[in-house]
Amino acid sequence: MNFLKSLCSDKSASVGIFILLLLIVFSIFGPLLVDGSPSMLGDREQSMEQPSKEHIFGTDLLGRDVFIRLMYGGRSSLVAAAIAVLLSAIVGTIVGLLAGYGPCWLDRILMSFTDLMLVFPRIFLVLLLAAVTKPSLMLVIIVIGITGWMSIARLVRSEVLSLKERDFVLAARGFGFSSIFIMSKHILPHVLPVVLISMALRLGNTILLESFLSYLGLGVQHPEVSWGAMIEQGRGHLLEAWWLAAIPGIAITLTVLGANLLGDGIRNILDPVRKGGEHE
Amino acid sequence: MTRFVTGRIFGSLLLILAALTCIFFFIHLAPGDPVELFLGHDSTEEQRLIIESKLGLDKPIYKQFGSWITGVILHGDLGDSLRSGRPVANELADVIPNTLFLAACSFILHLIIAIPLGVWMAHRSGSKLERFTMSTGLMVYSLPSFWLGLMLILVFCRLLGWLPSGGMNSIDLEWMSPGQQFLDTLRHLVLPVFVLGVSTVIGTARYVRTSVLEVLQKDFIMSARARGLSKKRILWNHALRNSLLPIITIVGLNIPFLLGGAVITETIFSWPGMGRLTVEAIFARDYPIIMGTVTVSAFMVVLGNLLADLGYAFVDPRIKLRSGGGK
Repeated sequence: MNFLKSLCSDKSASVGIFILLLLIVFSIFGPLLVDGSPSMLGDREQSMEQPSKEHIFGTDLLGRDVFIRLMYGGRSSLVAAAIAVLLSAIVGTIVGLLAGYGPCWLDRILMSFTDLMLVFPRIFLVLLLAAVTKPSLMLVIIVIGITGWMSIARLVRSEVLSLKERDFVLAARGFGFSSIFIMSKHILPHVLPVVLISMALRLGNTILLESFLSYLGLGVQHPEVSWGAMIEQGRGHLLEAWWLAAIPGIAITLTVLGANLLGDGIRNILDPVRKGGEHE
Repeated sequence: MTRFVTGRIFGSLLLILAALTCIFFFIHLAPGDPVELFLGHDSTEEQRLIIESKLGLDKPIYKQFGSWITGVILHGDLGDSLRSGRPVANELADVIPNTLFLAACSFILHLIIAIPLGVWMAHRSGSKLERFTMSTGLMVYSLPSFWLGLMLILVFCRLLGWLPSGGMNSIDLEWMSPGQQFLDTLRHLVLPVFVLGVSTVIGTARYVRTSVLEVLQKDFIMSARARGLSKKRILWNHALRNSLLPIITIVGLNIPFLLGGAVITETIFSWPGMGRLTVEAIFARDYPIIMGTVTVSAFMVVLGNLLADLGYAFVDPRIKLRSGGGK
């Protein structure tokens, strides 16, 4: 509770939360209030109309309203990024817990594997994975999720290593509780804050990665939309219809900025010495 | 020290070997069928057999692995590209210098901006102007670089017509004088270098800022101040020099980031580098090329980490002493 209070009193965190909430409301609840679908075609004269009162963000090549597409696109982009980060966090926490609390040999194996995964620049790993499967939004979520757990695993492991020697864990072990019970009941709750923070810090980069994959056409497929895919559609019409590529890009920038501000704010609260320290 | 160096080199070699193994089994055990994906659904059995034997898929997997890994290690042989039929090593040799050139230019540009900016931010720490710079930096950091690239192309190439929108040279390069050729490359370089370098500037500047602020707390700065040295001199001569040590780490650790960024930048600006080759290979389902570029990028990351470790040890005498104990 205390943490939430200080989060709201931190300037960058509260601005970040505000931006993110605004975008979430826009793309999750927006489509419920507006009638019209992202794939509803307009008349031929409505193709690539400039932003106007009727279509505030203009229309695309097929006369579809960009504002509505932006809402639906935000839905898939935000949901994909959120699930992907969650997936990374789950895998990272499990690996970190097992490595930190498990036997020495398991720690060695898991950490060597983590180091090995870090050898590949993430985008190459993502592209390699994307290459062996058929493109879809699900694929993007899984691919981003399973290539981003390594730093979380390391973080969790180091936390667990110090928790392991604390009295309450030693006592639980003295009572003869099983390792799984101790890990889930005594250690996990103490590790969760660290995991949540690193999730917030990773959100921005995840959105960027998701939008790039969608831009390449490896993400959502027609008729679904996402911000990255919208930019790709606008790429061929930069001169005639700048808004097609510009507007989704601004939406992505705002989202990432919100996530980064939130991450910065959280770090400021937890680590006041390094206030405004280096970014991940 | 020798023990430290050999230990690190040995460890890196092991890591590369493990990475090669990982890439191989990854491609070969993945659920999709590479041959079908490459040929499409309407392929004949004959075509299939040709591609399978070309990829060596008709042999048992341990044999495939054995011949692949010995080929890579002993002869630098990464197989042949499915699309062009040329050896992957040759294809890579064509593009790697371009990627390195782009990455190096961006990295140097980012250091030139980031280091003075970081020192200035440490100097003005807490001021309104510093906070403004920080927020602007965060904003730039949040820009999707592929979108930034497109917008810059729109403004500087399409609207203003000042710069070329893609490629590394103009088509008529051969007829230009050396001076014109240099200018031509420079003009093609401006936008990609900017896009690749700009997002990392604020990260490094903040790193330098924190580092300088930490050094400013040290005793020797106090004594320098007590000796009556000017604030400027203390900042630039004493504080910066001692806080530059982490920069070596940044150089090493930035390599994956630069390579990743290069994939995006090269795609947008049609820069003939490794990143664009990878993306093209993915759409053509050209597996040998993909395996090749991932191998090379992993190799570069390991090499970068190794050099950062060794560089750090050479620069900081304290690490040398500690490693004497055989870390």
